Amino acid sequence: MAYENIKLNKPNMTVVDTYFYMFDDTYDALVQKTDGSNTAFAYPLGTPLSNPVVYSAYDGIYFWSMEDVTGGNSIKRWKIEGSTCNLKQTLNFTPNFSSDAFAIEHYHPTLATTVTGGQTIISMSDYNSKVYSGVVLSLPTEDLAVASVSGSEITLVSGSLYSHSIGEQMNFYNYLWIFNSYSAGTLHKVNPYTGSTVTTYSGTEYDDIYACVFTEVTEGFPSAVNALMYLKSTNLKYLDVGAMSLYGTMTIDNMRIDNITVIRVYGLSVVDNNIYRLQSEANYYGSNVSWSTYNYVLSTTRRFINTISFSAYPAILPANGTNTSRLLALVNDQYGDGVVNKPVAYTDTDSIGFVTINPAYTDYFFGTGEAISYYKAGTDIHTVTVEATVTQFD
Amino acid sequence: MAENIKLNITNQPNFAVYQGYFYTFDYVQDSLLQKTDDGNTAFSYPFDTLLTVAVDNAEYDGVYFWSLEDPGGGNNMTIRRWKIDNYICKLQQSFAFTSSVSHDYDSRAFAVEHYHDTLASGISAGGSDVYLTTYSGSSKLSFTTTSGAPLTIHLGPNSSGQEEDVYVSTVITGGVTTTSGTTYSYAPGDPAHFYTYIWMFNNFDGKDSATGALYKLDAYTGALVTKYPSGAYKDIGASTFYRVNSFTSYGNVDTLCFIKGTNTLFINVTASGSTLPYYGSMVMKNILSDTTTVIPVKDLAMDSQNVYRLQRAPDAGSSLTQWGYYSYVLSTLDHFVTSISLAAYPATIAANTISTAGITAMVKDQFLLPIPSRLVNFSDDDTTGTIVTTPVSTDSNGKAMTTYRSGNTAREVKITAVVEQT
Repeated sequence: MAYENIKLNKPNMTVVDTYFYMFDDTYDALVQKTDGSNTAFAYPLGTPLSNPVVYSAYDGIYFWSMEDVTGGNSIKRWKIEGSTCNLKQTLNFTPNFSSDAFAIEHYHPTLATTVTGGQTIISMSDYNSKVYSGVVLSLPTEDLAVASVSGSEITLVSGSLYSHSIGEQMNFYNYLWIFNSYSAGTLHKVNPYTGSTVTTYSGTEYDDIYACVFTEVTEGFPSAVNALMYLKSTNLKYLDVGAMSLYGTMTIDNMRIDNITVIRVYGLSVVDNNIYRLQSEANYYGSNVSWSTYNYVLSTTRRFINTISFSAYPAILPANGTNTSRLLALVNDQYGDGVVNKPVAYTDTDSIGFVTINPAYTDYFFGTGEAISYYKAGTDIHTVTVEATVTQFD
Repeated sequence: MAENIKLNITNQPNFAVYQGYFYTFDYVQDSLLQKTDDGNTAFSYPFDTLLTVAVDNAEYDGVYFWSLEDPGGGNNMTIRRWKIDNYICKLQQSFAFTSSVSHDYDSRAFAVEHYHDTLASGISAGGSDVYLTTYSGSSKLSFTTTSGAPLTIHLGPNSSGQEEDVYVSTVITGGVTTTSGTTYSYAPGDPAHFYTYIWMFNNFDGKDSATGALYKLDAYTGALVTKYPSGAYKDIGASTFYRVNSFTSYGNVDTLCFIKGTNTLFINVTASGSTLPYYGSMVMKNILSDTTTVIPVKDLAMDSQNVYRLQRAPDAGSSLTQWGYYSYVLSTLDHFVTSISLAAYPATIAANTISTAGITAMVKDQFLLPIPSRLVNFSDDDTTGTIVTTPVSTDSNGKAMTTYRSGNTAREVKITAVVEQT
């Protein structure tokens, strides 16, 4: 079928580097597939799954899975060790849970200090404020449990076993974010080490969320942001989990051509600003496409021309070859922001009338997305169609 | 791959491979059949003890054939040891694993830990010192059964076709001293075989069917030595024990191999501890053309570097029962290009003939190890878009990178990367 790519037979997906990972409850394996749907590898699960995985995530070290269980959900943490994928932790969220999506908040700083064996105080290049007592910092050769944090000083529960160099890669996770549709929508901030809820945020905003991911986004915003991205209908929202406000919202094309039916997204991953959405159908260039398998559809965090809105003032002119109408093209990107300095080219259907500034460029200074030109009337009385086309040239 | 050995799905769902022949226990014909690659029966060895159910799994240890049967009527299994002797396949020993208060047994795969060696020096009749080429000094020679009996080494056949069992008394430098002198003489290079444990993949961990367990059983007494619980050991249909040299950091290793889904995993059975580590894992192509349905492997055998999988459908076949019989499908233990994964960063660019995307191809072998120094050819299906550089050689990480420059039509562009095993 057209546009098929990874052909997953289970509705969960995590993208790591160039590979697509799927928990398969039929064969009890974590399957690693290529973009062309070939199985590059498979890791048998050390503990069989008792239910299908409805959502999955990856934090740089661990894979996370979520299953539906009686009265709620179960979230499991797994790690690839050698040739198998082994269960490390199970957290049950019952009763009053009905979730289809969760994310693991995770960070990847580097060591800011040299660490010698036995050392109990360390600091990181960044994200020290994200660490709290109980967090485990993972280095390539060992895990370090945090006892306390004071400013940039992190005190460990026990001294490191090995020596480490400045700049050594670190990974840690600090919170689970679970979207719960049980009662009109809640977002739960959970300590992933204990499973206890830290904060519950209520709002229909968090109802019926089927796809989310926590990731660092380096394009699309003035500076890099770590955001909880979640998909509400056709809007992908970037939540600042510190301030609990949105960095921004972008629209995606998960809509059938009837412009009514929203296409469900079963999984969401971001790699190098490519957004991979797992879907069983898609809208490709104005045609509905459906599959018997689950495949990824791409979006990008990079700002791209998304819409152009066009109007004329006045819209009715005397056909005297003299009067003009102001043409306003409003060009927005997927975040709903005006795009800067993009050419808008015009055509019209009158043999005498013409567009005076062609192409006109969108506003360079204020980000309004406006491109302004003028149409000078012809001499025949009829309806003139003026068409504006904007080009993404970069 | 075309049908080949055509084993009957009811009577012969098992095989062992040895020197180009395919052996299968046929419980209807009550014979061990020796078949050629094209399915013809080259020979048959009638059983001296009749089978009552089909054999689920077969193994060959160089001397003995072993069979795994499910007698039905509960969670019980039977493992038998057979030997071809004077044109008859004679039962040597039976182990009945019956349901008890501590264990249930439901298995479709097992393997016999066995070792093939040769004599490092000749033995005169009556001699009791056996010097081995490969396993001299190995702790395996110190094996004792759960009843305290020593290891049995099968010597021969010698140039006269004579063979015998000898029993280890003490381990000496370069070999062993046996409990009594040999009956026959043997020359350097004559075969010497021995086996130690049965490894049975049980769908029960004791009485618990939630997870599976690997049972380590004394191959001489059938007694349980220990078991290793893991979901990875559940629902296993094919396994074997073989000496493999595919893992560079380990060299030659004697390993328990089993198939889980699409992968063959190689267990280090010599490790201590409550879990057994893996030497590695190897992906195979036992998936239907829909790229999602895994083709079950009924039995597994290895000979030289060939991996023989007993299946009812070819790799990338149309259905799980495409074949009316079981035939073998091949994999190899030699490192081969197996997968190429492709990604574009950014994956969405402007159709302006100027914008570019970095294209990365990762080339891995069946062990998921990177394959360096292979040329990757990139192509695209856009008439105006172009691949800037092709072919590109993979680096030490198996990565080949190039650049795609966009065309002038907004569309999904398909970029294809092809790598060849050279």
